[in-house]
Parts: sequence; C-alpha cells; structure tokens
Amino acid sequence: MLRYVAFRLLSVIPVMAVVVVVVFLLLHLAPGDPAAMIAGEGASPETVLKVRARLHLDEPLYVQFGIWLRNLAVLDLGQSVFSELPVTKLIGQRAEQTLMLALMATVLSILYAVPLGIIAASRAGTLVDRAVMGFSVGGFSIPVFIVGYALMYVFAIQLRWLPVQGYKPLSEGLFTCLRTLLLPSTALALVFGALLARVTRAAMLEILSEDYVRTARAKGAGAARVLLLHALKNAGVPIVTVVGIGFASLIGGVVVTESVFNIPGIGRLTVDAILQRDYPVVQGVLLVFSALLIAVNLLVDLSYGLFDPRIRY
Amino acid sequence: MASNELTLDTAGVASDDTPEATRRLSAGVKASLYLLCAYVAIALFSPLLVGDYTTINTGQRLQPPGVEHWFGTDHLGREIFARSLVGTRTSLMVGVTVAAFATVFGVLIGLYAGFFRMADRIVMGLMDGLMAIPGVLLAIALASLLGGNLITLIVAITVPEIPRMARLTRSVVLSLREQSFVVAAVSIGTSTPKILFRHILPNAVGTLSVQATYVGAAAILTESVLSFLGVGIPPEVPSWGNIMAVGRQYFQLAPWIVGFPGLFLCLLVLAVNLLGDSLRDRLDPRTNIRSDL
Amino acid sequence: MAIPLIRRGALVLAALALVSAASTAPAQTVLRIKMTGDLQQIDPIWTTSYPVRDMSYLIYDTLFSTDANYKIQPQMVDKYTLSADGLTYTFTLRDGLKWHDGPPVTSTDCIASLERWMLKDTLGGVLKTHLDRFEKVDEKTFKLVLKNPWGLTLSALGKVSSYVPFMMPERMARTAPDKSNTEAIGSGPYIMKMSEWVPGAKIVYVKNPAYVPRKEPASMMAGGKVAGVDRIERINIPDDLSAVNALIAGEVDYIEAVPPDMMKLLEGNKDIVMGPRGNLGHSMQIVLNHLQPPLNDVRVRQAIQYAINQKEILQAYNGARTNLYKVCPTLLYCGGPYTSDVNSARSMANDPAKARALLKEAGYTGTPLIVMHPTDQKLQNDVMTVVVQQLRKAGFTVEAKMIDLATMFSWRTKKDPANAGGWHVFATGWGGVDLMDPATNVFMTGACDKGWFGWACDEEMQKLRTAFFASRTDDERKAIAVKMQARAQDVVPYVNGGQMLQFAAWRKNLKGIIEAPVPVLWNVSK
Repeated sequence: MLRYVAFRLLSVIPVMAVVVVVVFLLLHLAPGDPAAMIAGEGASPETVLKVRARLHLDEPLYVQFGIWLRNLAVLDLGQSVFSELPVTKLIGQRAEQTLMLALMATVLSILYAVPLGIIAASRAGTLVDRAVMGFSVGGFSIPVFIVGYALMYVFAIQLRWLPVQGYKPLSEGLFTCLRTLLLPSTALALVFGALLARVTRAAMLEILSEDYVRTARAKGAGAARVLLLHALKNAGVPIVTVVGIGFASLIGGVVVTESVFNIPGIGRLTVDAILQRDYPVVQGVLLVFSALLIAVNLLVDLSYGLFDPRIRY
Repeated sequence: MASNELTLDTAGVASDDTPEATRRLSAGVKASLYLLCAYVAIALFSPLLVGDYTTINTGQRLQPPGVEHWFGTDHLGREIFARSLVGTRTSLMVGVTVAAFATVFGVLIGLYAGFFRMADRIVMGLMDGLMAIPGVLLAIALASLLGGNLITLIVAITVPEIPRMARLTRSVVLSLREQSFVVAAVSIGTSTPKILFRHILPNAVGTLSVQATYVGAAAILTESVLSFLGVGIPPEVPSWGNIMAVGRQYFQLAPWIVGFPGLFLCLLVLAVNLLGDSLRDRLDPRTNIRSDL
Repeated sequence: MAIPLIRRGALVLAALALVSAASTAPAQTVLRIKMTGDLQQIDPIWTTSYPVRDMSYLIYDTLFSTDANYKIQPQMVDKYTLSADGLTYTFTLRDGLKWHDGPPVTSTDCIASLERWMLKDTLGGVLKTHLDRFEKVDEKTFKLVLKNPWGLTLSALGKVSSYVPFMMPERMARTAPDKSNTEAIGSGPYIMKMSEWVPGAKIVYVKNPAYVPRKEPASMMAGGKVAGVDRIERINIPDDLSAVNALIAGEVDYIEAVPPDMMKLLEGNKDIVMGPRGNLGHSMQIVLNHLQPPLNDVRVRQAIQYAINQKEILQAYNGARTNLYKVCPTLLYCGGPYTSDVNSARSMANDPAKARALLKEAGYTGTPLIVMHPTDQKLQNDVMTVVVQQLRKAGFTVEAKMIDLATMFSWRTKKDPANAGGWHVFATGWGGVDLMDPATNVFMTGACDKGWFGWACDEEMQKLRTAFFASRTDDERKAIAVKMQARAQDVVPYVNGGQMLQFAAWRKNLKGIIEAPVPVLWNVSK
C-alpha cells in the first residue's frame, strides 16, 4: 500500500512539470501586457517602457521562465504585478471561501444526489425513476449561473431569507458563514449532483443484480439494510470516482458562482488576474488549482481501498 | 417492471430489450431529435427571416415582450427575439466544431498512444498535465489571451476537451488491441495506420460518438459561461451567452433578456444530452462516465 | 457504526455553533461603501486612477483645499504669506499634524512630496517651470520661491483631482517616479489597514485617533475633516445589480454610482436616499489618433464631429432619465467656469449626410478605422457599440476590435501605423472636475508627441495655453479659454460623447454626505 502511494506521488511530478510549462507559455505568448495598466491613465509612454523593463517583460522567454522556475523551487510564487503583495498571500486570503464553497457544494450534492440515486435504482423503471433521471439530465443541462440567479431572486431578493452577495468568514460565526454560502453552494450542488445521481443509480442497479445482494435478501435482511450496508459501500468506487473527476468541473462552477454571488474567492482572483494580465497571480493560481486537482484524484484513488476490499495494492 | 436482462452502464439510463422499453425510450429521443432539427433549421435560416438584429434603437430600450417585440428588447433597443434566433447559429457552430475538433485530435492522439507503448507514456503524461488544469480556467485564459473572436474561442474550448477524448480513445484501443482480429492483423503484417483506422476505429465509433455528443453539449454550456464572464464571443455577434452576460444586470428589471436565451440554451443542451443517452444505449454497452458539468 | 458517527458529528457541529455564536464582534461603527472600479495600487502620485484618488483622500492630507465656492483654502497650512513682489510664498504648517506611524509632519516631507508631484502632474509641471526653489525655514515652515509671479500657484496646490498634491513622508516621496509606493502612510483622518487589504475584494480604513481636524466646518474638500465612523470598508461588488440589492438589504451603506436603469429599484424605498454625486459628473471623450491616416486629415476628424450623436449615446446608457445627462457643445465641460459653445455647430449637427460629404471632399477611400471596443465595462461597451454604429452610418469603414480594458490601456500607448498594430479611436471618461479647466484638461494642450494619447498637435493651442497660464486676471483667462475652445473645435483632439451626472445612493441613517466632484467620506456618520 505504501509503495503504491509513493509510486503515485512520484508519478505526479511529470504531470506538474507539464502544468508548469503550459501555464507559463500560456500567458507569455499572449498580446497585451500589464505594464500600461500599472502605469495608469496619465502615464507617459516612457514610463510604460520603464515598467516593462522592471518586470522583465522585455527579456527573452527562457530568461523569464528561468526566473520563475527558480522562485518556484523555494515556493515563491512571486508578487502581484499591481499590488506587489505576494501571490501566496493573495491566495491565502481567499482560500477559505473557495474551499468552503467547494466543500459545501460537494457535501450538499452527495447528501441529495446519493439518496435520489438509490431511490431511483430501487424503483427502477417506475415513474419515480424516470422523474429522477429527467431531473438529473435537466440538472446538468442548465448553466450554473442561471440556477444561481434563479435562487438569488427567490431566496435573497424576494424572500430576504439569505444575503444577496458577499461572504462572511468563519471567524464571524459558523452559521453566519454558512448563510452566505448556502445559495451559491446549492446552485453548484444542483448541477453537480445531477451527474452524481445518475452515477449512483447506475452503480446501484448493477450491484442490486449481484448475487450477494439476492443472498442477503433471501436471508431476510431488510431492504434498507441491504441498500445501505452492502450496496452503497460497493457503489462507493464509481461514486467517488465521479466526485474526483467532477472536481475539475466543480472548480469551473465555483468560478462562476463566485462571480454571481460576489464571493471573493480564488476563482474570482483568477478571472480578474487573467483579464488584467497579472501574470504571476494567474500562474500561481493555475498551479495551485492543478496541484489541488491532482491531490484530489490521488485521494480518490487511495480511497478505493476503503470501499472495496478487493482493491488493495 | 418485468425485465430479465438489465443492461447497464455506470452512468446512465437502464435499457432492456423488451419492446415496450424500446418504444418508451423512443418517445424522449424522438422529441429531442425533433427539437434538434428545429434548432438546426433556425440556425440555417434565421438571419434571413428575422431582419435587423444589430441596429441600436435607443428609443425602444427595455421593452417587455409584446406584440411589437415578441421577446422584448434589450438596453440598447435591440430585439431579443431576433438575437436569440441568430444566437442559435453561434451556439450550434461552437457545439459542433468543438465536438468535431476535440474528437479528431483526441482520437488521433488516443489511437497512437493506445497502440504504441512508447508514445503512450509521453503523450498521456502531457494529456494528464493538461487535464490537471481545470478546464474552465484554461478556457478562460486561452479565450482572454487569444482575443475575442469565434475561432479563438473554439480553440479555447476545444483544447481542454482533447485530453478526455484522447484518454477515452486510448482505453478503447487498449481493450481492443488484445482482441483476436487485431492480433491476427498484426501477425500478417498489416501496416499500423491500416490497423488503427480500418480495424480498431470502426469498433470504437460507438463509444466515441457518444462522448462526442456530450462534448458538444458541454461546449455550448462552456461558451455561455465564458461569455457570461466576459471573455466569450464579442457582442457584435449575438450568442446566448453574451446576450445573457449583459442581461445579468437586468434580470430583475427586464428578465426576458436572460430568460429567452436561457431557455433556448437549456433546451438545446437537454436535447443533445438526451440524444447522447439514447446513442449510448444503442451503440455503446461499455462504461462511459461523463465528466462534465 | 454508522449511527454513532452521525450522533458524534451532530455534537461536534452543535459545539462549533455554540462557540462561534459566543464570539462577538467589538461594537464599532462601520461604514460599508461600494465605489466604482477597484484599486490595484495605492499610490496616488503614481496613477491618476479615480478609485485610488478617492481613497487617498481618506488617508492623505493636502496643503490647500478647494471649498464649496471653488475658492482655495488652507488645509494643512496654518498661515501663509505672499511677498510683495509676488515671488515668495511662506507656508507654516498647523500644529498636531502627524504621520500614521508616529513622527510629526515636517516641511522636508512637504517639499519632497511637492517635488514628486510636480514631476507627474501637468499643472504641477507648469508650476515647476515657474519655480525657482524651495527653502526650508524650520520644521514647520518653508518657502516656495518663484521665478516670476504666477497666480495659479495656490490653485495648483489645492487641486481637487488627479494628480492631487497629497503630502507623504519624505521616504515615500523620494520613491522613483516609475515605481509605485506600496505603503500608505499619510497624515489624514483615516488609516489604511494593510493587514486587511484583499486586493479585488475589500479595503479597510480605520479612524485615525491622532488626527487634528481644522476648526471650521467642512466645506467641500476644505474645512475640518472629522472622521465620522470608526471603520470604513470599501467592498468591491463588480455586479451593479448585486450592489443595489445589497444596499436594499443593508449589506452596504453607500453606492457611489447607481446605473440609471437601476434607479427605479431604489426610488420607492423609504430606507434609501439618492442624491447627485457632486454637481459636475463626467463626460465621455471619443479620442482620435492624430498621427494615423485618415485621421491625420482634419476634415476626416471634423466628419466624425458630424457623425457623433451625443443624445443617442447618452440615451443608450441613461434611458429616459433626461435629468441625468446633458448634450454638451463644449470641449471644456458644460457647467464649468470656462464653458463656451463657440464654434460648436459641427459637434451639435448630428448629420451623417454632411459627414459623408466632408469625407468625399477629403478623398476618404474606405480605409478602415481601427476602433477599440472594451467589452468588460458596461459604460465603455454601450458607448462604443453606439459610436461604431454612428461612424458606419456616416460612411466610415469601421473595424471594431473587441478587447478588454487591460488591452485598451496598453494598446492606446502605441504610435504604430494603424495597419501594423496601431489604432484610430478609443473612448474614455474624464471627470468634469478635470475637464473644465484648461489647466487640468489633458486634451487642450496641443502638445503633439508630448501630449496625452491621441497626440493632437497644434501650435496655436500651445500658444493659447501658455498665455492662459501667464494671465493674471480671471477675465483674461476666460477670454483665452473661449479662444482655446474655438480652436479645439477645429483641431478636434476629441469628440464629446456626452455629459452625465452620477447619482449616489445611501441608506437613510447616513448623515453628513458632502456634495463634491469627488467622493468625500470624512464627515459621514451613521
């Protein structure tokens, strides 16, 4: 098991290397640069040139890449080209809200999608099943921002039950914090959970037809016990896989909901930085997200062992 | 419902061979096919039918839907009805081209990677690296940096989809490679391209075309998200995404600006997804996990 | 197994909730404001950006300020004298002025701050040409010695808008001109709390307990600057509709500019007050690149004057709210002290036919105009969409480049030929406060290469400007300003896109909002 973990960790390195190169090239081959934005409205063209020089924007690509790599080695992601605050600090300021949002969305999706999938599977072929499946396909056919605005309109603007925008950190109270995240995470969960419900249902169906399930039922075990104890555990593998793969899309969804609900998270940071050509921030964030994605997938792989004792390394 | 043989995959609708079930499926699929045909027709003929959809008319700002303007007007006085119909072209074009290119490139990469062990390591390493960057962020970065026009946008949305297609193709190739007909072809010295394209690919078409439809649906959604964030199709060319992007500021004051394009969008994507589902039921008995939101 | 886990989980959650509910925030008055745009940097001498300027007014102080009658009043200066020959100003600072990190404000700091400001600001630059030297007398007194008498010295020092001659500690004022200060130590009524700055999201200012306001009541930018609340949080809400809803829900207290279409959401609301933000507002300028053909031909530029219809542009953004906008014939801002509609027939004509005729006369053969069209800011987007249509109607071939603001800022610095990466037209919005005075209006310089983007080149405008600065009386200045405008209407450094007033909105429990051309946040209390 340990060997497997070590092997997987090592195999991450070439992947990260690819990410590092791609992210660097991505930004430096693009038109438009931050120098003029930093210089501001009243700046003379000479000032803009000076700023470019200071940011090494005029040096050959490989020199800029070398500088960046050297800094990466000491986990120095550089500074924002505008505020000159360290990228790590900028990410750190916003990490909490993005992680909370992603976590809450994942939890909510699992909470509603898995039971729905189970119900649909246990009543395969009936109206209930078709309703769930219909809802599910509908769910991932709607863009997240439409769901977000619909929820905002009903619950925040009309009913005034929840805040319209913004984020309150955990330090101001758990419920206060969760209140600000409820609408955005629900929007995300509705879409993400649709896929999850499908997968759960299909996995459950497959398992329910297995011999050991029939044996359990024949022995007189109750339906619930069978479903939860035996079937669900085995359905764990495909479900967790979907969560892992879907995490990338979840990040995409997080970016959108952060924009709709004005949650100052890492997603917004990335979009703003891209629009302003704040290279160090964009590079830093893309690296962090990629690392996170790789970590999540690694965890998913390792968790297989928990669900299915047949899978041991 | 009585069924003896439930053929399943881990991501979808159950299908069985009873005649009623076949008929039952067809109803939903028929509806989506009709819907898709309608969309294609709109896309092809709308510019001829709707008249003016670009001219600004500041005297007719924010008119609600009514007799004169069926879907109302936006904040510059442009007709939402006309723009939504014309937006169909953009979305369909994005959906189809992204699906096509992602498939072509992904399949090519996957075929060679699946067949040649050497290529596999390198290529898959590259694909994994690309997949590690969250798709939407990569698309935003590409779209913003390459500039705002339809072609660069298609590139921006296609690139993140290629690795998934490549992976899928590769796994199909890996499983087919051990089949007897392939082994036989290799042993009699058939050239590699012939093996790949005459023997392996045709057997993979089912799985791949299913995935292609899902890619198409996802691309249409992604375009709307990119436009929503401000890096999508420039507003000169209406797309549902960019109509909604501006409309977001008016969703309380003039909900029709977001409502109608949104409806068009959801229905199209729904139809494509349902089509994909039914294709899968018919063509592809294998595991097919869709990984897009 | 499963059940005890759930119970355990519930207990943990409940405990967390109790603990977090027990933590109470200290009782402070907090003002939450939503302003236009955002700050990426914080140095107001480095950038003219309005968001930076506005927030800098909280933390920095100035030697002189402009009051509600547009008269210059001393602010940091206690008393001042002008020598009989009009050459030497002697300034003595007030007692009790201290920097946020402790040390007292000295004349060395002030001199250094002025020197840095003069390197960047156009009016400051003119002052510099008249300046002989600064002389420090003691820690609180210094002299400004001119080479020749210049009546605008105090006006320059009390300037309202960018670049504002804010006073900074010497070490900050000695920062190289191409570098931006990353600390924000001023001597103003509020202190910027760097540890709580989340760029792109939130900036926090706390009351400066050591600040000694002047005794007089506040009058626009002058008078006593009393900090009315303990804490100001500048929240960035890019979505205007969200901001309006947040105001209604009480999540923010003040919005600097409410988009005209959204005003109706606030109109019936008893808890919200709306008022014009200053009586000046801002206008849109359609800036033309004088270096690139076909715009190097004055007739083509004048054709654009015929083509642009201000009312249509203004209506696109403001809708039916005619009280919010004004069609303005002058290039020096309607409502300002030097306004004149002299020679404005072409600008007011709205005549595409005449434009076409002029183009024909100039021999325009269809060279495409490269027009920059930023799509990520609503005002820019709307204005350019209308402008492009108007240009096309007038017979121009237009290539509208859909870009974002960031790209526009860097692209407009390029002097390349238009077909090799250059540009012809872009739009920008300057405040009335900057436009209304030839001294601060960057478009009236005629300074060719040394001028602002667009590089309008005209010897006569340069001469008139020099004369403007040399004149001694207000009447003289007014006369010259009229001539400048007449000339500018022929040279066409820009075409006026229309003038707008912004309305701010705030919750009714806010008191002390001052009407000024820039947001004034001292004196505001809840």
